[in-house]
Amino acid sequence: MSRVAPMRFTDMLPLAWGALRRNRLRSMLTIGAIAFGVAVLVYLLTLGIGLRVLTIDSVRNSTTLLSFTVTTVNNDFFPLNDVGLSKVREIPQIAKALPRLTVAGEAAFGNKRASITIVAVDPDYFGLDERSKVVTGVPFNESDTNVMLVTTQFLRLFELDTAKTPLITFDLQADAKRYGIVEPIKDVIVRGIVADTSAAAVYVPRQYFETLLKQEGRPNYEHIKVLVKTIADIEPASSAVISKGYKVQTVVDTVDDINTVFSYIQWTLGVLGAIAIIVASIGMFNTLTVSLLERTREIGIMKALGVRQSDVRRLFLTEALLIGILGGAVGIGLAFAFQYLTILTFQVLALIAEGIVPKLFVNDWYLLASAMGFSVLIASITGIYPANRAAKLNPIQAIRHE
Amino acid sequence: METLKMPPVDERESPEADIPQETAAAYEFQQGGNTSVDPLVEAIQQELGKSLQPTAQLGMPALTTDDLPYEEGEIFRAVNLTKAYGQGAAYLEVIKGISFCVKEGEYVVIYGPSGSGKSTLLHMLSGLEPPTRGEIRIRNHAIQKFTDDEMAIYHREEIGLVFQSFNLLDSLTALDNVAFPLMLSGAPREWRLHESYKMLDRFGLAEFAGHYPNQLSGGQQQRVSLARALVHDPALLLVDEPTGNLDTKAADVVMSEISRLHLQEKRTIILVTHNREFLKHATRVFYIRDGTLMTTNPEVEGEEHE
Ligand SMILES: Nc1ncnc2c1ncn2[C@@H]1O[C@H](COP(=O)(O)OP(=O)(O)O)[C@@H](O)[C@H]1O
Ligand SMILES: [Mg+2]
Repeated sequence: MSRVAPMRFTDMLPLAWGALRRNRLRSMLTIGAIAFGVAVLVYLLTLGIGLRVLTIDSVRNSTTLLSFTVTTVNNDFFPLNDVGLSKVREIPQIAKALPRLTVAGEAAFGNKRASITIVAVDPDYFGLDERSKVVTGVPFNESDTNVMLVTTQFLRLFELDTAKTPLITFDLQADAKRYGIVEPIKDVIVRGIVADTSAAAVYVPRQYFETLLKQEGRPNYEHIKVLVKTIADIEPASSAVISKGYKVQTVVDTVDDINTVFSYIQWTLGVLGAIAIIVASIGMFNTLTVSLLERTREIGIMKALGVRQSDVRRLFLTEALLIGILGGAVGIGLAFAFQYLTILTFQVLALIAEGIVPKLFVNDWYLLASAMGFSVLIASITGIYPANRAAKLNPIQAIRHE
Repeated sequence: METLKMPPVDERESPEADIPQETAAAYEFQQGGNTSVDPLVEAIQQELGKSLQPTAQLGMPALTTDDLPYEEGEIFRAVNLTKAYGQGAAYLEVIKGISFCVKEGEYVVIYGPSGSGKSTLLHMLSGLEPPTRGEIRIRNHAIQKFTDDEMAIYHREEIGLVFQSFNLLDSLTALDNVAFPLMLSGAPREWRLHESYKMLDRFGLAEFAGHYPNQLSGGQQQRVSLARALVHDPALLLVDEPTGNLDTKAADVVMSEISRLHLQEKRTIILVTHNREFLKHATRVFYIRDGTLMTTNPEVEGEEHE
């Protein structure tokens, strides 16, 4: 006798689908179990990735990758003053060294006075980290004198619109007791607003401001931002800085640290998700096996009509496959719903706290595709045993089984 | 009219001297006792105008397939066929070493009381139940040696099966149930639905094509089941109690349809029933009782139908 062609997939699919539809509750429970597992897995993994990306981004944006920050641990031996600055500038790989000088002071407009922070930086300093980003307006030039950029808190202090660059001028005065400045800076024009939300501060041109400070009592720099030409220069430049007694914080280090921490977190989240899926698949195994017992008669009839063992097996696997695909799809949808609810919750909280909600989840397509694949795989593995049992069923026992 | 062939006198000594009357009677019948103690046997003989004889009396006592060469037109041959269920105390021999032949074009009615093993015999012939001992050959091929593929072909192409309990697929409509065998043969969907619809129409069920089995009456399911058994045009029809769930009128329709399948379409039919009405249509009757078989002589039957 000739070989028998296997049952067509296009014929098999409606049969499997019909079987799923006939026992709607059982099918829905099975698909629901798998879907829940997939949803938990996807939710946790996208949250893990989202948090990592969020953290790395905020670090990355705070400085360009080609810069690092020099600080000191001991201001007596290794002070961050003009001597320190020139030491840093001697290092060949370093293209630019941009110090930040912070002093306490006062600002006045008309007869309104307020205590503020005066930050003296070079124009290139703007944008090197998150808080020194220029939100509105433009940075000043190196040779500028009576100009400044302000923070939103500064504007709030003077009850001004925080979205617009004010068209008025201020008088600035560093704390005379500490720094001994004789002259105040008069009629300072506001050029723009910086992102800094930490204080009511003004950003002034460093070169001009340093000429006003007397040598004694003059404070050290808060830190020096160093710029190199290529990524490869980071390593020698930072070693050189360290060898001069200073401390270095590079972005690359930070990103690496964050990646390590988050890969642990992600693994933990992934394992939790996998446990959820395994629990779900045990449930699915159970329902598929029970479904087999319920359908012995049907399988017997099919065999009596000439459906081969291999076709019965494939039919059951097709059914498991369908459950896997549906479970995966519903699960991903469910994960999106969980994400949406989470974001919504945070939005409500943020509304109360007047903040912005960052992007918490990253839905990489390959992650979603693997979740789908995982669901199908688990479903198929789970289906193997019931499928084999169904294939080996004695048709008459099955038919007599009422 | 054929003269009654009385069973020959049992010349063996009776071992059943001191067993109860009822059992003794059954035993006597089983041995082919000269006077038919079973009133049913008498009734059948009257109905047919032929005598029933145990197969052992038909020259096939300890038959092996080698003893009797395969003959042209022979479809089934059963040799010392035995089926037992259970083990130990639950051991039960349902079929006790019976032998017979079925030729092409025959209409065999397997008749007997409920629980006598009629369905079991039919299931063995359909290859769904393996015999405990003995052999079944289909067109000279031993059914026990069929591979999965050969068995599939046997079911898909050679036979049409109608089960006692209809056995429709609950998740499929009447139409899809009938179309199922055609699906297995790989026919295109359009065509197989068309053919199946025609088949349903033939059984007066066209308007129920879209109904699911649980939306059909017992009689309707029975007819869908028949339609399914015939849709792939099998030469051999194995039918189990086709009128078991039908009223007299519906039963008559099914009965005459099966007769037509035999007489006009020349199909070979093996039909299990305990409905005596079928006996007159049969070319041969297998009477089963207590696991043994009595039958009308095939040679005699052959001549009679000329
Ligand atoms: N799977 C089985 N296990 C045990 N006994 C069975 C099984 N199938 C059938 N029998 C027994 O075999 C006998 C014959 O059954 P069956 O062939 O259905 O009889 P009939 O069709 O003549 O009414 C019955 O006594 C029945 O209980
Ligand atoms: Mg029966």
